[in-house]
Amino acid sequence: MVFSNLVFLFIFLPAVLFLYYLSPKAGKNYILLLASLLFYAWGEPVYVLIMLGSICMNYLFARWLDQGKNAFQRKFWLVVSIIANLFVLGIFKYAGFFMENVNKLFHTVFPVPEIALPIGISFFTFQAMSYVIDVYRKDAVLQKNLFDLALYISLFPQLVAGPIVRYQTVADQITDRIHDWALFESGVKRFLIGLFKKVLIANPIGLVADEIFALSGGDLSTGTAWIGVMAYALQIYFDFSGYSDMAIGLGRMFGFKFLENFNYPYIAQSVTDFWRRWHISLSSWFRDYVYIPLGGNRVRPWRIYCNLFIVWTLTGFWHGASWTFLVWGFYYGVLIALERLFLGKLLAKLYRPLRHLYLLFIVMIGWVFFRADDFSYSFDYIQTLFGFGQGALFDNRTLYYLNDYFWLILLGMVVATPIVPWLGKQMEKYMPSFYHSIVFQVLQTAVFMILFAGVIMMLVNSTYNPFIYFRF
Amino acid sequence: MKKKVLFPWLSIPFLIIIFGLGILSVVMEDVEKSEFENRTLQTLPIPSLETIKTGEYFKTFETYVADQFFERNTWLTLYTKYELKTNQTFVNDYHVTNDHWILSKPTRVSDQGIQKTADRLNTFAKDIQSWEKEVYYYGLPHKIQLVKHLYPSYVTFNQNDVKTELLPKLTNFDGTEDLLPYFMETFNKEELEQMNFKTDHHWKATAAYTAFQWIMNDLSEKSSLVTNGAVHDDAFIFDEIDPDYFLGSWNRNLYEQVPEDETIPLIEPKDADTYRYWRGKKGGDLEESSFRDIVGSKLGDETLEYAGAYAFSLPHVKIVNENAPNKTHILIIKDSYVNPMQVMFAEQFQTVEVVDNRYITDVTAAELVKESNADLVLFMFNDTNISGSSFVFYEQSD
Repeated sequence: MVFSNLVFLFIFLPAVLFLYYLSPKAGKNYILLLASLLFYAWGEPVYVLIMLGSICMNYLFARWLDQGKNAFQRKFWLVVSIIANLFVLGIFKYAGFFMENVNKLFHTVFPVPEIALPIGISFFTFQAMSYVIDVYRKDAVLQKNLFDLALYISLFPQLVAGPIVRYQTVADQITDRIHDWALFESGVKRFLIGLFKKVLIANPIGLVADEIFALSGGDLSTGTAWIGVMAYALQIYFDFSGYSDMAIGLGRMFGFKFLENFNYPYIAQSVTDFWRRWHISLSSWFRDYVYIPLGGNRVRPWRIYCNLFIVWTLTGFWHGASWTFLVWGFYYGVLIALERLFLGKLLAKLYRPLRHLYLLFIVMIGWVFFRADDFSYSFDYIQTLFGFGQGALFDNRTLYYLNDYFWLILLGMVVATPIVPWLGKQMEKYMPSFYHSIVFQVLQTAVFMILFAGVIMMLVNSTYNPFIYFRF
Repeated sequence: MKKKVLFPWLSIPFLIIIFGLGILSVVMEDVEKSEFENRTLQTLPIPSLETIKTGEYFKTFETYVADQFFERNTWLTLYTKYELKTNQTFVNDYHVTNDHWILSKPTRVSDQGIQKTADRLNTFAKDIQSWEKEVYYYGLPHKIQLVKHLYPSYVTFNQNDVKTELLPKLTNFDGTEDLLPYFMETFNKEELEQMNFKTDHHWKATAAYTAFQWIMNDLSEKSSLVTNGAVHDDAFIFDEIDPDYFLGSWNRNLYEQVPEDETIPLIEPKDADTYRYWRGKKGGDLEESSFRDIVGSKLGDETLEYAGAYAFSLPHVKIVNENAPNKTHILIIKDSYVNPMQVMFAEQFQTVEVVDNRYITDVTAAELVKESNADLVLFMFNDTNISGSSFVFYEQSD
């Protein structure tokens, strides 16, 4: 199930909220667990068994690890758990890719398994691994209650598309969390903001990106190619950050406080800065569980760069079993290494708007690889971006997209910057009495409800409602 | 410092909306059909182990919730209004001009699709000839082709050209013609606009009459069975009616959001009420009917549509005019563009049978044509209708 869906908004969510707040404290986690399993099973019920298997497996590994009598035994169970988790992920996500490449490399004809990807497997597997590793490192206490661990791994707000919630950050909240109106109110606000981002911006802009990236080389003009890549950059940001906002908001409605996952990444001034702001939970996961164990910055310089390439290539590969994702990750590894080596210092001397342009340019080129199905298409697309493609500089299609989507793209560009919260702060600073007045609250509520009506209108009308990050 | 929330300004309305609309959607009686979309709405699906296992049940349930959402039509109307206000080039796949012309998004049928249609037509035409009947194909210009100058300059008009893409493939016909070039060469833009409804997907009777004259002339040149091809204006009544409300089909698809008051030209043979009429509910057996049951059956209504003003697309119609100048029996296989023309042909031919292949269910078009005493079989379809169920002649429709 997805959040931006009428079944979720008007049946599932009210029912879960009703049962959750009606039940005594001891029953709340069970309500949430059942709701989470139903949420996951909706659409693809068989896969819930894989998630339940992952939960039981990691519960046992952590117990055995915790009972280890010495460091070797503890390490043994840690390694076994990591291998087992990666094996499950490998089977469902990477087996087909692996066999395809084996066949190509060795000219063999081994059957290529066609295994459907269970929704959110990358997210819940990484969460489960973080739990076992945190227990190993003694950053977290062993969870003896299987149901509570199941709730951590399967909690529906963040289950299928993150943020990747690390066990140590919510361990206490699972057993003891506070429910109050202030938190609930902030949760509703955050959820609605995410819903607006997803339904009012990401979905319609996504249509443009989908149409343009489906064009063949000869049909693609330079102008249309730029609109396509800008549309995709905005779609993926609003789609994913919108989902994270909704997850954080829903979490607050049920008393959880999840960490932030985005911080206006498109205002970054370098690639390093961008990755501190984009999918923060994933980059910090790789930092804490891969980069630092590999030695991090405390090794010889050549090892640091080696570690960077490994981590970023893995980050790319996490997104999908394809060479384009691997290269996309490696691309960022190289850029971050270059910034560390000398580019960062050069950038620091540049005029600030040029630094922003540099970052946006790098990111958009990266999105071409990320979005395209193969390298040949990516290179053709990039050639077209720079006027070396088969198409004209602009054509009727460019004018059509500009007529229909100019204002939406512009709106997306504005909302992708922190200008709205900045305006709020300015108002609070210079017009404090108005900012805290009932009139302002009523106006704010009216704006939110009008936008919510817009969301309902779009959802009733539209069948176009994909979530990009589901496939990861 | 923790912010103090005096009142849950967002939470309360949010909860009221999600609980309220959820409950209302559940308790309100399900609607069976959407008049605007002309489709059956999803009813509550019954779960089975198989549909749950495959996930089909969940998808159907989501469609059910969307289809039966509280005040669904209001939300859809709101969406259409929003799209129109934001000046989208296509709203629900329709372009609406500033002066209220509604034009569908141009679409192309693939080369394979055209070849399939040509193969079906050729197979049928060959059989028709073997049954000793002459067979002709006439492509009728569609509204969007006649007023294509109304599209924004940046919309690529990539509609198929029947004259060059389909007609050369129709090798088993006694004659094939497309009337679009004639219209485009003969009339200026303003005249072409006058010949079409702004908010409907059809042409007007004036365009149909022009096409009828042209076809009669063409047939008289090509077929020995048509001895008199001259159409005399004084044999027809030319009238124009101004209904309280003309409901164009494309306006209905846009939730009637394009306010346009249109008049309807009527062109009928003066002695049309002296002809004898029959209609078949599903094809095959015919029941005797009457002039106003077939032609202009809704003319007195406050709200009038193309079909009500001219003729509904009935599966099978037969008109006999004993005084017709041509003592020939013709059979027309057609789409709705022919509806205003069928009674015009009856002014010229002793017997006119009209078959709408999409709606006959008891017999196939092939069986119906074989059993008919028609001497001449005419295929007439608008130029955007060049694939699909209209061209399935050897299978019964559902």
